[in-house]
Amino acid sequence: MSADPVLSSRSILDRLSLTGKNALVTGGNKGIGRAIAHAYAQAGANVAIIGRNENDNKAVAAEIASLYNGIKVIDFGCDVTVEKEVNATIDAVVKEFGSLEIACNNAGIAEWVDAEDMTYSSWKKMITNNLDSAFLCASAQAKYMIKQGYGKIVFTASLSGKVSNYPQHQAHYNSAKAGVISLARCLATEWAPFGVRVNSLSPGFTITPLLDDLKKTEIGQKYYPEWISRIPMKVMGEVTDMQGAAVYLSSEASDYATGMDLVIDGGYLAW
Amino acid sequence: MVTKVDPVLNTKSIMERFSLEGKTSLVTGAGQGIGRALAHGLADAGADVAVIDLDLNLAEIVANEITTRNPDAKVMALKADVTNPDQVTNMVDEIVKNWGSLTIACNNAGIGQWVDTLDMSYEDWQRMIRIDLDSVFLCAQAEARHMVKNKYGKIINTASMSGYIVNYPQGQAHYNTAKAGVLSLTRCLGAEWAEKGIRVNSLSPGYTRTSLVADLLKTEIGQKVSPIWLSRIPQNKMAEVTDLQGAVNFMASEASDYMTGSDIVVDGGYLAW
Repeated sequence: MSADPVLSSRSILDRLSLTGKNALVTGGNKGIGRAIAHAYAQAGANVAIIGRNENDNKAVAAEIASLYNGIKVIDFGCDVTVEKEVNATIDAVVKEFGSLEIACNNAGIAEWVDAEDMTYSSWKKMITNNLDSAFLCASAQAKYMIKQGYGKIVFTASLSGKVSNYPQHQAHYNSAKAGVISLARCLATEWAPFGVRVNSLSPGFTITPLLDDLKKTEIGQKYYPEWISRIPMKVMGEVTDMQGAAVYLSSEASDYATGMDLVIDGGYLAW
Repeated sequence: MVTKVDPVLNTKSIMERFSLEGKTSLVTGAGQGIGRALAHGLADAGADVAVIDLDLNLAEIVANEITTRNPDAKVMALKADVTNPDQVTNMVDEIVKNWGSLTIACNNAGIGQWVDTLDMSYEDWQRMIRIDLDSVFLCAQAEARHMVKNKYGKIINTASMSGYIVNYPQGQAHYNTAKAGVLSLTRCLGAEWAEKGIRVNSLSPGYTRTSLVADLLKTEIGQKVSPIWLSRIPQNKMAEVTDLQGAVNFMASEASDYMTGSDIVVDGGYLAW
């Protein structure tokens, strides 16, 4: 007879801890990515900050190194839409850390433009940045994780992958994020036999420096009350509201979860 | 210009936010299976736990187990039929009377039954809806009537992947419908109570190796369905009850305070195929 898992499992807080794991966050130098990088470090993981802007990477890496003891922080400049750069960066992270257990593929861009006025290059840029990058990163990461027989990949998707935002028009962004949710499902089933778990996190409207700037514009002033009116909680999320979900999805505590999407949106999708 | 405080540098560590130290909780259907594991998980993270079951003897056994594993936790065992409105109200009152508050409630009690719809009696249907869906309404309402006073509370309903899809090969239209109802009720209450500080979310487990399921798998029918189930799970194994603890602890903690009306699926990838 097998042992009772309830009495023989470690405490759930130990299973939520990331102590001794090696993690990376793309787009880790600002906004939600920076918050997730901090949370990984708080939970005990070594963290690699990956982003296009090396100065911003170094600033966040220094911030994390100064705040949390006993962990290692590294940073790499990388354009996650360029296959060669992605492969080289993942190789470098594994070389530095020795292994890679956790990858948060979070980098992305946003743009508002009406579909009838959208140029094809605008469409392609969005799909490349928000969807192709997720594929490139996950594929490079899984090569190592499959060999290890274990890995946790977390994509930053969005509630925009499930609904069409109002009032701003962003058909390319929403389509890319829907693609990310689908990609997580696909990769989860493909890599399930190898111990690699793939899930996505879908934030709702979140207060980031980008959004703060937007709120100062005329159009931002106009849209802001519309957005709030559609959120049951009547507030936007803070980047710190996304940390718990990211850590849960990166921890052993979620090892049976794969191919799913965790929505943290103040209730937006419920309405 | 007012400079906004950076939340990343001014929020407690995520591990502290996962802690349930000083919080009071209840779990219905906690005498066995998933509910028992959830009660243990909450206590592991520092919560006081009321173990609720229709069978007081089972509830007491689990309460004792929790005390052994987590000696600092306050634990009580209570008998309640969660389909009975008066008993549900009394359950919440009893906890609030003893502990002064109720912060976390896992409405987990439920039953399963396999019966083809052509053979399903109206009693079968009604019993399933009453135990698996009505009970969640009754419990959540009674809990929220208390939580609303503190402008804070976390309700976690045990739904199921069966709320999304039709299980195969067993017939269980009433169960699947009830669980879909739990998902919807969770969304409704999440939205309705959002401004009152009460968060309502659900957990959707896939096939889980509870002791009841483990026994079932030893029977002739169990031997027949088990390979069919496994062939439809990308991870090719069933969940252990402990695989569900993390999601519920997260939803019970401050770390999920911006989450409401949402569902966490923990199914080994079942819904992805």
